[in-house]
Amino acid sequence: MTRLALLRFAAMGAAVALAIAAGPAVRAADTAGSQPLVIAGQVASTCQMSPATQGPGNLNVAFSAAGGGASQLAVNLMVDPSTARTQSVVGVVQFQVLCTGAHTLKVTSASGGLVNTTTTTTAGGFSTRADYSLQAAWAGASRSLTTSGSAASLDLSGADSASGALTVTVTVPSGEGPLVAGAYQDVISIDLSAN
Amino acid sequence: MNRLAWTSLGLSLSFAAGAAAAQQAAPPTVSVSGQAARLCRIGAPKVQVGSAVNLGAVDGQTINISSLADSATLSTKAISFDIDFDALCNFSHAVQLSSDRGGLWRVATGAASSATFADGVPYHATLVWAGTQSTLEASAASVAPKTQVLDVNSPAGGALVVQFRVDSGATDKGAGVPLAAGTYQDTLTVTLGPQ
Repeated sequence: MTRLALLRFAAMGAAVALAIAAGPAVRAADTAGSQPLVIAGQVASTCQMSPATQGPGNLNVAFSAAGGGASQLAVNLMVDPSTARTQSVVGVVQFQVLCTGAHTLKVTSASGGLVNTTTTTTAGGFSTRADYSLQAAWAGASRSLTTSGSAASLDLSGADSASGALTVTVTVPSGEGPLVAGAYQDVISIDLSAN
Repeated sequence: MNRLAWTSLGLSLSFAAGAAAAQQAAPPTVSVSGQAARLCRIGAPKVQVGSAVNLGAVDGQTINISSLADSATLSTKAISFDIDFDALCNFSHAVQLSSDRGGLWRVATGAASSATFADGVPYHATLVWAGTQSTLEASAASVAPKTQVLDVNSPAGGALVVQFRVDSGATDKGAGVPLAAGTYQDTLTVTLGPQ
């Protein structure tokens, strides 16, 4: 019995040895493990604009906030009482603007001038429109145009983030006209959107 | 079963037996020895969604923030979530938590932002493991790697937790500064290995 038992041990030992020889090499120790994580977030381009405030350098004009984002520049004395020609007017309005990325900004004159809303009748060399210079400055850029009777826009769009004051200046030169009596008006709109 | 287990550790057997069982002074002996390899393992990340704040989609090893910027302040919105890893090290070891960029930084797509806008978001990542913890402060001081090492002087196994936190309004340009639009990203790597 003992001899048989020894043979069995011997046989098992051989089997183990064969198994080790036939199997893969003992795997090297894995002494390190690592897991990378990517943390990511997006910030969309966004724009904010404050209500209008009166800017510096106004002449012959009164600023008022009309509420709901609207404001008004009312000319004090539009024409020279002796010639019916325009008096000099400078109206400056500012908006605090912040855009976190690319954005579109347009300043548009709807009527292309100060247009008589009372009458369209012109006679004797009198005019129903007073053209003016529209200037806008924003984020280091400045654009301007002179109205000529049709809607016109200034494009101050930007490809990057920007913040600060958007300054819109309306300048009516002296001597235009003579003008037909009545109320004159234009609407300047500021369109700001994030791209 | 036990034999199979021993072979995986690198089993060696030796045998001793008398020439004849009947005359042997002592029974045959079998000496068994093995060597347990040094192992460190870390499993795939599991984000604890239930307790998370401001967490977006988790895609494999990419964790997306839901809203990096607050829509009202345009600055950083608070973030909080925990990530679990099944981990094991059977010897005294170290856990390393490393950030590739030292903060969540905007992936540059053009000119750097002005001082008015932030490009980086600081965060804290606290490693909780084997009854102790250590915090990596990714302060977004500069775009540079940052590493925190936790030495553990014993084997350990179980849940390794990384607590990821972003404070409300935290930016590289100071508290409450608006974030420039874009994609913000960092890679956080957890590594277990020898000290």
